[in-house]
Amino acid sequence: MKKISYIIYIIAVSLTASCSDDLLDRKPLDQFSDLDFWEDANLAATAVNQLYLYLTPDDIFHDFEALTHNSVNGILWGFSHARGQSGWNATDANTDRQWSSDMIHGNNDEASSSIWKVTYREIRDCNVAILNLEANESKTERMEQLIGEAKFMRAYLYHVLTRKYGGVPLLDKPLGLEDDLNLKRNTYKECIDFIVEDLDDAAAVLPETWGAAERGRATSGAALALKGRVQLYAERWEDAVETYEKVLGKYALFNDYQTLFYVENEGNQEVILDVQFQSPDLVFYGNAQAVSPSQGGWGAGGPSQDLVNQYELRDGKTWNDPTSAYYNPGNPYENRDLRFYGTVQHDQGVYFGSRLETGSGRDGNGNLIKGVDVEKNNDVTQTGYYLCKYMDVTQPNIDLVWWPAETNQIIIRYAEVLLSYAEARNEMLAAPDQNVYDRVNEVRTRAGLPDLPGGLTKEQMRERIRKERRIEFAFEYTYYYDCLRWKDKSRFTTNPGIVSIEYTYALNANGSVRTDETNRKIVLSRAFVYKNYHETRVFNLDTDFDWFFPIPQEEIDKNSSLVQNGTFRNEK
Amino acid sequence: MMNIKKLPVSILLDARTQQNRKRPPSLWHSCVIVILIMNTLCVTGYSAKGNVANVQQERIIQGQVTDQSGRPLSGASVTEKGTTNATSTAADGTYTLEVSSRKGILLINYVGYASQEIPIDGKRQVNVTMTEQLSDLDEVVVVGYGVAKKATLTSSVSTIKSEEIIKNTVGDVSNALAGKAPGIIARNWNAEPGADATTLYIRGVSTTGDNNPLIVVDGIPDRNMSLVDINDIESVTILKDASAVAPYGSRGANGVILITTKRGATGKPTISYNLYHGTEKPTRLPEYASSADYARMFNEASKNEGAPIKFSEAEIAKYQEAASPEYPNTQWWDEIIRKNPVQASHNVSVSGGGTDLKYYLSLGTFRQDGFFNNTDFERYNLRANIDANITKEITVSFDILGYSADKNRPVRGEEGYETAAYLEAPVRIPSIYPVRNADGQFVSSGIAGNPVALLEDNAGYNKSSYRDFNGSVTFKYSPSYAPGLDLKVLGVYDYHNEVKTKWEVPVTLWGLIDRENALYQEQVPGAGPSYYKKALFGNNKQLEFQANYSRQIGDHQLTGLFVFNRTEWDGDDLEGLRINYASSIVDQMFAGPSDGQSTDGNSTDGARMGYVGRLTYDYQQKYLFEGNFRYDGSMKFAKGKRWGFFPSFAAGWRISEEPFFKDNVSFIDNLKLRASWGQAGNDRVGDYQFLSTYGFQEIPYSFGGKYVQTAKESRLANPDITWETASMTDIGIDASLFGGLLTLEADYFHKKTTDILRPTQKASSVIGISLPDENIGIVENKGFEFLIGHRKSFSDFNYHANVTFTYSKNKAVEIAEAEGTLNDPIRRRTGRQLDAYYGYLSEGLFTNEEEIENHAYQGTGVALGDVKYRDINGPDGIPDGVIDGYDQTLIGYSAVPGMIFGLNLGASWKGFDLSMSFQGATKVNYLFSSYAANAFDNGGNIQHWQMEERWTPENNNPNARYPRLTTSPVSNNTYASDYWIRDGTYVRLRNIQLGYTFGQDWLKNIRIQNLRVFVTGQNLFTWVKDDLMRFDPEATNDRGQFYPQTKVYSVGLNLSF
Repeated sequence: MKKISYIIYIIAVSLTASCSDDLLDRKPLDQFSDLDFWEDANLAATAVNQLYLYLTPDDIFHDFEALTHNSVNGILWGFSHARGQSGWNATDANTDRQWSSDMIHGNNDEASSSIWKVTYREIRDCNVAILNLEANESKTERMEQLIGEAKFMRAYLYHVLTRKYGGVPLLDKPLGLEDDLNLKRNTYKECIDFIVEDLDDAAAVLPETWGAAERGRATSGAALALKGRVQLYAERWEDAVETYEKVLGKYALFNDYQTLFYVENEGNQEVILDVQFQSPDLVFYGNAQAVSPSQGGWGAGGPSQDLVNQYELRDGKTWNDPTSAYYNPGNPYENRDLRFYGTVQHDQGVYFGSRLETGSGRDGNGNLIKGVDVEKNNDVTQTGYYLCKYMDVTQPNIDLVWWPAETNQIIIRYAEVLLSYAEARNEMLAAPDQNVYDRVNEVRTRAGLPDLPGGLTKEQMRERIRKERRIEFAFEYTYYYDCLRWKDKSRFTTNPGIVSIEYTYALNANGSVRTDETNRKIVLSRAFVYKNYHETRVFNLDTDFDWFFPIPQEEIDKNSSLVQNGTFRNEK
Repeated sequence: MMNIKKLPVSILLDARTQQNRKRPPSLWHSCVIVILIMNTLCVTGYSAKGNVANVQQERIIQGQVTDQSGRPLSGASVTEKGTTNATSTAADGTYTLEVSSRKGILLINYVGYASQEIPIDGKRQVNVTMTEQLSDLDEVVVVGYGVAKKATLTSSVSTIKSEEIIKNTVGDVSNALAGKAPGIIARNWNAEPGADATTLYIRGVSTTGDNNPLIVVDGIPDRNMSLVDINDIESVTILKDASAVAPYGSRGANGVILITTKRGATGKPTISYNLYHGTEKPTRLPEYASSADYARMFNEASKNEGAPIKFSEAEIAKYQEAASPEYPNTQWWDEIIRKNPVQASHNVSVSGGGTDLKYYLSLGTFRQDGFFNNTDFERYNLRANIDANITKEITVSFDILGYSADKNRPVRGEEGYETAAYLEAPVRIPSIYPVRNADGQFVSSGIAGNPVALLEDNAGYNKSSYRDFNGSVTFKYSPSYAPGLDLKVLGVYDYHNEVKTKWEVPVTLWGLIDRENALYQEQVPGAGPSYYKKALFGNNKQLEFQANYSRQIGDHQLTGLFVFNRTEWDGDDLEGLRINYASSIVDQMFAGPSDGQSTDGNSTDGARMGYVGRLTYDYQQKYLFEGNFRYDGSMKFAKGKRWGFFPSFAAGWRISEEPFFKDNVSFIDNLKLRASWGQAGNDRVGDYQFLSTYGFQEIPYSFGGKYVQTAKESRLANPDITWETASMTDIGIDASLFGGLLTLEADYFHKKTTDILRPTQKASSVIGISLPDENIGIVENKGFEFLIGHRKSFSDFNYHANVTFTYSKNKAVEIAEAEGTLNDPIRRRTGRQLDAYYGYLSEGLFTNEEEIENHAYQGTGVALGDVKYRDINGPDGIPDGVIDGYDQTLIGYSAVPGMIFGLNLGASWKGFDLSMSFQGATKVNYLFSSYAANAFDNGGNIQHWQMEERWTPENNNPNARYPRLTTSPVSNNTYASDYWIRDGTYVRLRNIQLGYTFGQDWLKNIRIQNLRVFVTGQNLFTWVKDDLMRFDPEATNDRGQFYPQTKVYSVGLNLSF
């Protein structure tokens, strides 16, 4: 009977235990709960740190640059339709390369849709931080700064959205399930006002510089420089001039254009804001797309001949001007604007210890022998050039397959302040004053070029400034948006231009190509064949060209109060 | 012998964990274990026999129960009529029963056989030969929290017996169930050893969430079916309708699978040894073009694009010859598929018992080598099911399972079959790339490396080891003062441990830089080896109280059940990684640099509690009623939303018991109509969705050159989240005709799942965060299923056949679809099949320029031989002359079959027995994409059929089944469309087995009770309806990348003594 009593006892205990469901009250062991998080300034700071990751360029493959006359890109991953072009095909017999990209439905473009979604996710994170930090009744100075940093980032993200889509729904707090999510688009003007207000708030609380341990955080200078850019994009010339004048003289140009983008010079006097990359967890893979195949890259983002032609000779004359003392059709790559060498890899140039070969020639038996950088595999240049901006040859042990670069990517630098100021001031005035000349010449001097000729009209000065911007900021993720805001269709050319280089090889007695001690084929001379037709880009250039992206159809399907941009409304 | 007994089993198991072994399958090893264990168990067995001997000899009856062919029947019940003296037969069919008098009558019952009453007539030895009978009204089936008589059961339940399962030479129980019982929809997506469990859908797909049935092993929910050795299974029961799943109602919405393992019976010990040894082959593999054909086709593709030709005639001739490594003809499947890998299974068990102690003990091992080097799975199972009568009123049962398994996969295979590099390579790399150059160095394809190099031993490994312990103790108290009442207390402890180890050694490949001059360049890997280890630990604890009551008062039979259960679980996860090892000699964590190392880990825990109640009542076994409820609380939901109540009701009418029926319809022996309605729940959603949380992010940021932590909001909370509910209706009929010659079970079912947890698609992305699940989905699923059985004997020839059939069709009633498509009758998904394929409708290929010009605009660059799409819609709901997203609509069924059927045949004659199981499925589609659909995709290969079926300018056929060749797929031809929809209908000979049982007399001389030898083929033959389906019809083959399904030829024996 004892055993029976024991069992009955167990039953009684288990029934007693059942009376309460406390057993089911639990707390997650792999997350922080809402309540704990914002009371601790150190924890809250981690949420603001997170926002800085959103500075990373959304176009790391230079897809947008390739939609302009600056580049031809072998890898158009999803952006081919971003501008309403309905497809393209390209064939180049010289490189045996063919590629095509065609999407039926522009406003169903996955990449565009993901930009919209991702950016609103990021804006939410800013809003969550701002709301919760502001709710704190006893804010420390550090908390005020954190709010400023979050507002700076919110402004930056709205800038990213407005330059793509125009006016977008503005949110100043995180929404919940109970809120109305079917928001209308705010006007472009309302968006700009909102951004400017955020940047004013940020500039007021952020320091001019941070201590060494905090280097990389947004400063008041960054807030003002971004504000100037937003006002310039919105064509508020007087406002932009006024804003930029607060930044002029606070920074200075770095002395060397090429190494400005190297790891050793990160955070130099020219940098106003840059994304902090730090190997191994924070690396930038964009460069892998651009590097030549013999260096392990994928050969994408090739600079066009048209871009190369923009780099003046050292005396300020154009590259093909026979009157120049530097004119040399046998080697057009000598004595050019210094920015050329910091942007473009060209044939027979030495990079990373090896000589680039983008030409082809024939051996004694008439067989076509291609240079390694047009022959190696499919990842060859489409234009005859490779990109070299941001490729830091000084970095040791770089992984040649992926090229994870830890070089900081610069978001705003002082050269932009100079050229934007010059542009806004030129637009504001009837004719450029000396101040405009001085700012542009400051940039040209660093590039080893003579000053602009005097007596330019407003229109001539406008063209000169646009050319400087094109060269100065090539492949820095902004030129595409310049082309859009200038509303200049010619910059979305169908003829970006390429070069085909024909070698005359040194030959052995048996007709084979002679090589040097490093097993490289010896080239005696080169002939440059410039081709102005390379690919068919089918843009809607003629009638209804839109200066903004289509709102992703998926978003309109969910929220019918979103009005589509321009011609995308009846997408053909 | 004593020494052996002391040897811990863990040492035996550890003996096989030597890494990187390259030895033949562990036959000798298994034999050693078998002998050791048999010796060990004999000792136990003999001591139990001693017990029996103590009982008064006078009233002991012994004997053996066999079937007509002399095979022993285990588990048959032997009762002295009119008393409670009862026992059941041991594995060899023998029994020992203490009776009150040797003048009584023995009543023998066995599932599937006619019951017999045999007078003892003073004999001591009573042997019984049973006659098979499919529908035995006294048959007892396992149901939730108990057993029920089949005759009076009102719910929809199917049972699969041990002998049907054991015939299959498969590693996982789930692979033996397809086609065996009505109501199971099955698809075996992956055949990788150790990861090849079949996905089972009871009556099809009925929610957008988790569709897996609840698995209950020996009465304990949430156990892993894969841990059970097939040889240990007594029966598998499928609970299908609301009434059947009601006891597990809180989580029974997707049906329940009950697995019951074998237990001991009173009698002398029986030792059984079952083994088979087999060899494997892939069922189907796609064929690829030869290198010369590849070159020809690539040239044709270039011509089609107006581009220069890549391969000269001279080069093609060299490929044709395939005489040098630079001009090879590499058929990658042939290069990497291992010839005749081995599958083997051994199981030895001993069972028996005295009046106070009954036991079933078994040890099993299963080994399967994969089709690829370093791919294998090896498993050890140990089970002890022990029942002890402590007093007359109290029984204690003690069940334990020990499980140890090790799985090896090639390095870079971790992510599974879909992305594993070694499975992508053979379907992608063209045949023009060599495996090795003349110097024996591995050559890189430049596309997907070199799969042969990847599968080399020195490329590293990817191992998983699993260690499980399942244990339970049950106290059962049947008080003598309350007849019919059983009280039970059950305690469960399950432990799970899983360790994954990945050692990745970069392999040096050589790139072909000059084909003509055979020049290669070494591709030095950028980093050294890396070592990753992850350990998971899990515990599950349950405490349960059960009260069962059963009482017959005259014509009234009443039963009742009450259960209270509380379950708690927790888990821990710890992982570490070190990279860039200086050397590949020592593959251990300590041997790597701390620079760049990383660790991670977290914990989870949870709990559930609930109450179950059941009442059944019948009058004269003619009018049957049943009511159930389950009331459960789950920690997945916030307080106030946490408890769910799930009732069910059922009724049955045995028409055949009515006098008017009995008198008039003589050919129907049994006819029962039954109906049930009820609700069941589902809480399988992510934890803590009702809380807002923040988590540190994996990617840090950096200030001043130093990393700083980053964190963000993890999710939006939905405090209202609660149970998903399925309301189910079932109408069924059970019948037996012509004296049991023909039996029929048929059911119509209708299930409506509401409150399905899913995020709304309606909310615009401006909210900026993934939306939490809300209880908004509704899915309707209905269909029917039947089983027809036939069985007949002619003296010593017996045969039987049964057909199972299941059809289910679901409909998404409400899935919170975005307005844009919801309001478009062509694009909408609401109201259609869940997970069905969507895309364009094709109209053949373009065959002239005018046609392209006049057809709706499909984008630029459309050429002859490209797929033409039908313009069915536009922004205004009418065709608009443009093929775009608006023209996408339903183009096929889903990848889960809508109809599945089985045909099981068996016959025996003298000692011979033959059985065959066919299984098929239809109403299933595949949408070919990527490598399965497109030649030269991603720099890839071309399949043989693509070459054969392709459109060419010369053969300008609008109905060609492959469009014009291009050097990389043009997007116009790769859209999801019915052009790429393939019919997945198949019929497969799942299993065929021929056995011979040796005569009993001859065996007695060598002290063997039973010996049967057999040959078996698993998946020997597969017929696929669609001739372009070159993959196995069950493989995950939309991309064409899959682990080949397995065909097994084996021989084996069953031995008992």
